[in-house]
Amino acid sequence: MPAMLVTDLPPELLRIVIKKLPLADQLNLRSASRGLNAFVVSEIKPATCQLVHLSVEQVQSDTVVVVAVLQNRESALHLAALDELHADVEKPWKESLEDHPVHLTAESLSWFKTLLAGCTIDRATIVVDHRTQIEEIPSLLAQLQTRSVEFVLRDVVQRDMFRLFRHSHFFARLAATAVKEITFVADDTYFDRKLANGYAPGDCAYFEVLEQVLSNGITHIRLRVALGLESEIEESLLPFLRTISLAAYDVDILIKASLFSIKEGEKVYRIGNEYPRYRVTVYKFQQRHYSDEFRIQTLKEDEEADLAPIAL
Amino acid sequence: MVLITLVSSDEQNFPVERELLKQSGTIETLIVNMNLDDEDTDAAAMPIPLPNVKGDVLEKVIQWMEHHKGDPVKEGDNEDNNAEIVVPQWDDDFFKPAMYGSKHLELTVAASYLDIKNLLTLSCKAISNTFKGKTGPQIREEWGVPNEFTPEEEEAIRKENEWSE
Repeated sequence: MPAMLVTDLPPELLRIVIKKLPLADQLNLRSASRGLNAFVVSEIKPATCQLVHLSVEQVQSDTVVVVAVLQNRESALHLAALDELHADVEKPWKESLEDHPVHLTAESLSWFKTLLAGCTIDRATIVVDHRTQIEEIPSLLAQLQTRSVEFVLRDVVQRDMFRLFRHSHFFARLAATAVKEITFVADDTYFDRKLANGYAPGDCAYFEVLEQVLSNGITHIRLRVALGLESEIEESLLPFLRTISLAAYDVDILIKASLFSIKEGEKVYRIGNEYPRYRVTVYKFQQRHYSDEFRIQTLKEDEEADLAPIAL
Repeated sequence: MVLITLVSSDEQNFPVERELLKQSGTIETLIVNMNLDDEDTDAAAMPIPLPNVKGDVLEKVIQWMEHHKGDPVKEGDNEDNNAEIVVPQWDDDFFKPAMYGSKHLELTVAASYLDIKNLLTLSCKAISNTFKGKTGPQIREEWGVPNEFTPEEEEAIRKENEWSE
């Protein structure tokens, strides 16, 4: 009878041995033999990969970078066993994120559908520029059952950062997924004042985009903008409120921006008694490193409003 | 002193003190089911065959049980997965000569078969200890495991493990 090898231990005993080892030593066992590799991976890989946070950034026309914050270290095995996809796994301490980020570089968003099959990601951040294949995003988010998505708009070439969203029924397709809250972050593009030269605020038409999002049924909207929103608020707020009031949208819209010329305060707007009331509040931070807040919320019937509604 | 005879797979007989055998869940069950404790029956004289344990391994098991006579016996099915278990010095010395070899592994398998929980826990912990802080190639060398990997495969695993370093 040939001598027994450690790799011949029955699985139930191997399991006891491995459980008594720290994770790093368990992973080292993987390179001892094929059998141990398969056993260790199957033992320490959770049945489901739970991500706390995922961000996807397109850095070249055919390349995206994903930052995934994992709920536990073992989940990384779901992502790490993809060497053939040129996955780059970085050490946790290289990032300031509190959990265990894994950076991956892959060839297209379709890879991530394969990569993240079976994963649920509650909150996703996607960096968008003019090269982003935006039509792929709703199906990816649908697969991930994402409830809250943040779009970081980086388009220094195109002034109209929402141009990509306006076409291809993007918001309708997004609304058909599990997404209930949408955030636009547009503060990087114009952070550099040189890039903002010649910029006409109306080019962005934020309120038009908000209308589009609302009309598709996504009512929780967050918008972070660096510059150029004040004049649009002054010009477009009342028409916007009239539109959403007539449609009786139940909204919660929070805009964070520098509102130099807009006064702090609270107002309530209403077209008529049969239409919803909307509270518009402006809160200004004394310290300039915070963005001021501009919020539009539907007032519920049982919510007290000290202010008399302003007729729209 | 009541003695019960254990018979190994290679048909060696080992008369063992009845009290010692309480450490083995498997043998204890056999004794109860076969009425071997009943001195008034012929069964008391029956040897217990252990077809899955070789004589040299059974000898080591008995030696271990003799040293641990009177130790509290673990109850239940739950295996103790505590990584902080320390192997006592006597047990460490007991395992050491056979460590990195077939004999220690066979002893571990026998502890599992005979349901001697304390021996199984310590034996597995002793094996775990040999893996601690070692790379795959070092583990292969110490335990005499042939290398099945290509350099590319080893590099791929190393890269996959980087996130944990």
